Formats: sequence, structure tokens, C-alpha cells
Amino acid sequence: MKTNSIFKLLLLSSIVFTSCTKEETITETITQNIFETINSDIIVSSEGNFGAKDGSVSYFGKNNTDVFYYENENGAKAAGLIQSICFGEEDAYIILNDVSQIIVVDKNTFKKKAIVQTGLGNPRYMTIVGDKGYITNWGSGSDETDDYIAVLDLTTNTIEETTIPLANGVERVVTKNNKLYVSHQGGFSSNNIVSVVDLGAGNSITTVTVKDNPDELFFNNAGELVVLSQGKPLTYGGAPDYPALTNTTSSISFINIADNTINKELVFTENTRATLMSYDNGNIYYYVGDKVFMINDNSTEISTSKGISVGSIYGMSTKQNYLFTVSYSFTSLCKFNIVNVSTLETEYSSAVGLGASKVYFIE
Amino acid sequence: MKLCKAILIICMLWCAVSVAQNDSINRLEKVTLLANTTKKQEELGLKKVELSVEQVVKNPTNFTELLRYNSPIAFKDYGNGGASSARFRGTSATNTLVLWNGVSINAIGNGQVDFNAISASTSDNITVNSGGGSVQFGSGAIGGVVQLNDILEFREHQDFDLFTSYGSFNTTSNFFKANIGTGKWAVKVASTYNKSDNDYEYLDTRYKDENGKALKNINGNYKNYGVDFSLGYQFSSLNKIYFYTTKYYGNRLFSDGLPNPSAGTERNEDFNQRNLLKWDLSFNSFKQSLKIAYLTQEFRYYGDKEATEYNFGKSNQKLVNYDLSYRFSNYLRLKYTIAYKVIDGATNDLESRKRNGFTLGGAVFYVPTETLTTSFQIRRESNSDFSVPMSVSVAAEKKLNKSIVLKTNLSTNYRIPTYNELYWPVVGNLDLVPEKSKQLELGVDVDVNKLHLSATYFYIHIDDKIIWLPTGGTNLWRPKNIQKVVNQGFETSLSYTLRITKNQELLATSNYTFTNAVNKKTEDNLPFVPNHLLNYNLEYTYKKISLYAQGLYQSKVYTTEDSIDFYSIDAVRVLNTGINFTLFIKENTKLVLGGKINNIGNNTYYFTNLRPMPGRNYNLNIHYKF
Repeated sequence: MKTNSIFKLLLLSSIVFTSCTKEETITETITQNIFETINSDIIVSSEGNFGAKDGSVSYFGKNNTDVFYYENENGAKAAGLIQSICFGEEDAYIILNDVSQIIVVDKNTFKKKAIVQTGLGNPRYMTIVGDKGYITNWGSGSDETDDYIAVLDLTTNTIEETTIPLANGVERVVTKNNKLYVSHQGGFSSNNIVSVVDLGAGNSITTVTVKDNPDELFFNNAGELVVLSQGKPLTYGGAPDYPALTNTTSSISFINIADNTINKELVFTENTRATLMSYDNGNIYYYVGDKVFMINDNSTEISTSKGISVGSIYGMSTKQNYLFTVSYSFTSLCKFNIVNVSTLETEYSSAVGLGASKVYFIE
Repeated sequence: MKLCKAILIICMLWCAVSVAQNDSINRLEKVTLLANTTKKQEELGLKKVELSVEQVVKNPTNFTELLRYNSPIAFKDYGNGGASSARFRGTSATNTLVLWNGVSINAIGNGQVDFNAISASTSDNITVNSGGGSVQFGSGAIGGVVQLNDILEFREHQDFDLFTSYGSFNTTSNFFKANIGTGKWAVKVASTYNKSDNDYEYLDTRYKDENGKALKNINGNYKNYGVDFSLGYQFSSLNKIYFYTTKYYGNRLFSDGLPNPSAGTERNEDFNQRNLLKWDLSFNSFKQSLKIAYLTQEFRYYGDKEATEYNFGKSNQKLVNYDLSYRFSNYLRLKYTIAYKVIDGATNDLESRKRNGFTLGGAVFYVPTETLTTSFQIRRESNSDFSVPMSVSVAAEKKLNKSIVLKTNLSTNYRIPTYNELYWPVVGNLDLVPEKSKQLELGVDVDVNKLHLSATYFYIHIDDKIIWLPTGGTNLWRPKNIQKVVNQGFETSLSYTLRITKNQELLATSNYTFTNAVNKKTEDNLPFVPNHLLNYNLEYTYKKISLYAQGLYQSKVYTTEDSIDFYSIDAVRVLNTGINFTLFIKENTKLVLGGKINNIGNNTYYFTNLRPMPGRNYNLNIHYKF
């Protein structure tokens, strides 16, 4: 066992080193700067492949990095497709989509504390309101009428019996003023609404129609709900990349949450798809093609000039003028890059598990 | 009903044609001998392993298990009884061809055979041929070929074979076989029935349920049954007609494995039906064989086992094959093959699609000296969907002395894209071309006393290997002709019988394969290919009691090309032991009572990530031959 873990260590360090060969020394010093600037540790979650049970969690901190953090802390894999992680005050909730399970871990050590599975069906994302967790669930993937929100009692780590049924394809969920805002990306098909669940009014539901396939959503500095609608792919091109050639309109919608109306809707040009979006203090970043572009809260149109070239990525986050991306790869390790938005220089780079999709910050 | 009708019609046909023919036992023997040589010449330079019914009854649960412990094939199954795919020498499941009485039964959809969804226990002859065989069998014969044959013998005999077993997890495996010959007629009737709750406890204690209790393989139960009927009639020793039919039904739940087996909801049904009519006629120095086959396959996949709606894939194949061979002398024989195949496949997402294939083949078998046999074979398939490369093979076997034979076989082989790869909605890729391989084998067979050793070096170079890959941005997996791979290694098999005293005997058989499979574009090792794969059977018999042990070792495999521990499956070590007690033996009658302990070490082992195999388990069985 011992030699095994030493071997593993060697392998891992070699991965980290090989992936940043040239910038090795720079990385070391600048790493410090980055972590000081953003003032938090970073967790990258990697989905792994559906059914292959090889999702992984990586940790990047001021003094330490661990590419296979969860496995090394727990002596076992998380064992599912890691859709997302929700961070509470003390605990973190790792949502395993394909095996319908949530692993409750200590936020600071990622040691497993409990598992939750009864009451989940294809769970996607979670948000916390008080001592309850609200988890979007597809139910059966092929059934378009059984999507719901499961309610997790955070004190007992059990799912409550009462669920909140919603329209098809629930995806991300955020909260404000005791309300849940749920984007309906559409699951295996497509949808075009954001549901608003008023927890203080008997879980009453209002819907806001946006463009097709709404995914990321957040509140901007003006308190608006900003939603990225990716647009629904219609046709695909040929080998080798099979890009989506045509799609329904992709847009960024700004919703007034006082009356659930749309303040403005910035649409992308025809057959242009934005697939990722992140927010950093007044700036909205989105990913189109192989570049990340930026507009601000007050912009009146989409900008697709002066982008940051990032290649093919599957996840991104932004903080303190840094752009954090994970490359798109499901057959071998992904690359985690940190780019300084002002200088456009890649200041840190490391390998992370395959299917990497989310970058989180732990303060 | 249809089946009965078909049989009736065939019987009537035969009665009508029944003409008095000469028949001589001498001639019959000669013909049989010739048939054997013929077959051997066609597989010249290749390595094969044949399995007997004694091996079948030691591993009766499923076909994967039987071959895992008795052949050089590596299997990847999704837990015990789950979907199972086979790969020879580090090639892929689509490069493993399975033949039922000479007819390909690989699925039209994915090009593979699920080795836990076919019944093999009633086959009279199971042969595992390693190496390329496209020149003989067509598409898919790159890694190797598994043959399931029913044997119809005309000599007067009545053989019955009855096997039943019961064991842990409420598992029962049974088969019945009757082979009868009357001189003119040969009949085989067989059936098999297998069933299991398959709810074994998981040994991996790192994972527990919500209450901290051990997890079980729930949602893993299976049930399947099959019936075979074959009939042969010989007008004379030179003129024979055969009809084979088989039907199979399987109903399985797919276990989800760790960490949450209760999330498993999948169910799968398989329906297979195969029919073959074969007519062999010899005249002068000619020998001809006409085969007409009709096969249907269907699977129904239920995402929710309780639901009535399902996804399906179904296909039917019609095949006509005509072989004509001419024997100039003992030294030279020519063979000519013409075949036509029509495939029709459909799924719930895909309207029926037809594919036709027309094949021409020729072969020369030449024996220049008494110790040297050579062959040159060529085959060309013209397919309605692609241009298929020509396959060629050149082979030779040289007998050095009484106990050593040197063998070589050089061949080109191919695998045509499957329906899924071409037509799957959205992701199917109509630009695909067939996979092509160039292969070399160098082998030696050693026979000394009761020791048989066969060792083969193999080199397989595959171009345009089809791989499903995720595509940037759209998150879809699509098949592409992307890889160039080279598989090299050696494969050995050994069998040894030692008669210690008059009452004591030791029997050992073993297969060992070393494989190095490399993606030539990246120079990385291919995933899921074990470097070392070893199995062995040791049996000690004292009078009526025999004790045996069977072992399996598969070295660590990586699940991605990165070769990192995180993406790997630990080495597998399993040991099974058993005892057989012959209660009664007399002439053709034999009654054996057996008991077996599988995984005696109670080891935790996996063939796919976190889909555990069973711990220690038990089985009692009765095998009655009369």
C-alpha cells in the first residue's frame, strides 16, 4: 500500500510538473500572488464520464495542491458523475448525478460525513436557504413530467417527503429573498423558462420565459437576475469537431425580480452559441467559440470583440479579475488555467481530472 | 408455430427426395477425416483452443465465466451477469467475431456480442480461434473468433446429457441435450435455463448505505432460456442435408453497482432466433456446401424496469453462402466461395435500413512436402454502404519432427462500421470507413507425450480504428476513424496430463497472454488492455473423486490513455475450487455429483470501475450422461 501511494504521489507531481514545464518557476511564485489576490482556496470538480464513476475533486490552496483531493482524503472515489458541489457554512454537498447520491463532506477537509440518496433522482444543482438544501432533480431522464426540487434537511441530512414539482429540465438554482430561481435548460430535450418558487408563499410558482436552454444564472450588482440562454442546437457540422452549425437564439436576459419581467435581453448573432457564463463584480463573462468575452451590467449589446483565447473549455469562473478555465476533455486529464484578465497571461496551470466542469472558491 | 411448420416442410421435402443411395462405412470415415483436414487447412497458422462439456459444467453460470477461465480472451462485464464484451489480444469488442454454426451473430447495432446474453452450454463444440480470420469469416475477425457449433452425427448412437446446478444467490444453471443418430438421420434437441437473484453482498467496505450497512447487488437478477433443434439427413455419405434452429430469450436487470445500487432501474430483454439450412454434396473430386440462414435479433431496453415503454434495436439477416472446393490431389485443393447477405436493422429512433453484401472468395491449399502445408486465401466483399478492403492471407505450417510444428500466418482483415456508428441520430457518422488491419503470427506447437504447448507471437496493426470521442462544445460522443494502433505480444496455451499411478491422474490447462497495445498517434497504451492475462485449471483425479482449482489473474488495467492510478482497475486475482464425485460409470452412462466454491479467497475484484463481482459463493451440481 505504501509504495503504491508513493508511486501515486510521484505520478501526480509529475503530472503537475509536465503540465507547467516552462512556467514551473513562475508558477510557484505567482501562485502565491493569485491565492493572495483572490483570498480563497480553489476546488475544481470534474464530472468524469456518465456511468464510469470516475468523477474527481481537485484542491488548489496557498500551500498545497491535490489533483485527486477527494480520493486521497477518503481512500475511495466519490464514485459518480460529479454534477456540481454546493457549499454551506461548514459542509459541502457533492452532487453525483448518475448514481443519484449526495456526499456530505466537511468543507475544509473534504472528509465524508454522510450520504444522501433516498428521494433523489438525477440530481443536478443545490442551493441553501436557512437549514434547508434545495436540489433540482430531473427524475427519470426520459420522462419530461417528473422534474422536481428535493428538499434536504441539513440538520439530519435526509430528504423531506414533500417535493416541489416543476416543469421539464430543471438545472441551476439560486436564491434571494426566500425565493428560488431555477433555470430550465431542458434535460435531454429543451425548455425556455426560469421558475420562481416563493418559499414564503407555499412554494407558489411563477415562470419567466427566456430564450431556449437557460443554464447559468446569478444576481448582478443591480440586483437583477442574469440568465444565459444557450440556444438549442439544431444541426451539427462534420468531422472532426462536429460543431453545432445552427441553433435557436442564444441570449443573456436581465430579469427584474420585483415583478419577474425582463428588463433587457441581449441576443447573440444568429447561430452563435454562448455556452458558459460567469460574473465578477459588475462584469459578465461568457464563452463563445474558443474565446471568453466580457460585457458589464450596463451594456446594451453583446460584445464579441477582444476576447480572451482559451481554447475548448467546459467550465469557467471569474474572481478579482482572474479567469479560471478548465479544458474540455473526457478521455484524458483536463487542464486548469488561471488567466490574468488585465495582462492576458496564464499565471497558473495544472492538470485536473477528466470531464472538469466547475471551479469553486472557498473563502 | 412457424418453427413447427418449417420443420414439417423440410421433413416433407426430404421424404420426397429420398432416393436410395450407396452408403459405405469406409467412405464415411474417409470423408470425416478429409473434413477435418479441410477445416485445419483453412485455419492454417492460427492458434485455437477447444472447450469440452467438462469445462462447460465447471463454469456453467454464463458464457463470460466459461471463457474467462478457459480461453485467452479478456472480458469486461458490468458486474456478474451484466453486459459483457470480449477482446482478444487488446483489440476491441467489435474485433471479436462470434459464429453460430459458421454464421456471424455479432449485433448489427454495436457490432459486438454480449457474452452474458447467449447460451453456449448446449453447443457441442466451442472453439476459440485467436488471430485474424476475415478472409474466412468476413468483417470483425481481427482479434479472434469464437465458434459455437452443433454437431450432427449420423452414426447410430443416443447420447443424453443432463446438467443441473444450484447455488448461492438462488442461482440455477441447467441444460439438457440429446444427440441421436440412426444411420440416416441425426437429431439434436437441447435446452438451457438459467436464473439468479444475483443479489450478492458487496465486499468493498469503503461504501455503505445511508444507515452504514453493507450494500447488495440489488437490481441484478437475470433469467434466460434457450432451445436448440437440429436435424440432419444423409442421402449418402456424400450427400447430406442439415437444418439447425435455435431460440433464446433473456431478461435481465442491469445492476448499478457502487455506490448506490438502489439507483439501478434498468431492464433489458433479448430475443434471438437463428435458422440455418446446409446442404453438403461431394462428387468426383468436388465438394460443395450450400448454406441458407435467417437470423433475427432484438433487444428491448427499459430505462425504468417497471415501465412498459422501451427502446429497441432489431435486425434480421438473410444469408446465402456457397462453397465449392476441388481436390486435385492430396497435395493441392482449390476453394471458391460466393456469398450474399442482406441485413435489415431498425431501432426506435431509426427507420429500417438495409445493407447488402456480396462476397467472393478463393483459396489454394498446397502441400508441397509431407511436412509442409501452405495456404493462400483471398476474399473481397462489396458492400452497399462502403468499399471494403480485400482480405488476403498467406499461411504455412511446417512439421519439424514428431513433436514440433512451426506455424505462420500473414493476413489483412477488416471490420465494417456498425449501424450505431453510422446512423445513430445526430451523432452517427456517415463518413466512416472500415477498420483495416495487417497481422502477423508466428507460432510453435509442441506435443511431447501428454504435454501440449502452443505459443504464438502476434503483431496487429490497425488503421482507421473507430473510436467514440466527445466533441468540443456540443458534449456529444461521435464515432471517428481516428486511431492507428499496434498490438503486439504473445499468447500461449498449455495442457498436460500426467498419469501418476493407475488410479491417479493430474490434468493441467492454462492460457497466458502478454499484450502491449499502443495508440500510435499518442504512443500511449490503450485503455482496458491488461498486459498480463493468465488463467489455469488444475485437476487431480483419484479413482472416482476429482479435485480441481481454477485461477484467474488479470494485471491492472487503465481506463484512460493517461495511465494514472486514479483511472485504473486493480489487478484481479480469483481462485475457485471444486470437487466432482463420479457416483456411477458404465459404458455410456455417467453420473457425476459436483460441488464448487467460487472466489474461495473472498477477494474484492472488478472488471469495470466500481461494479463489484461476487465474493465467496457456492454451487452444487449433478451431471448425468446416458
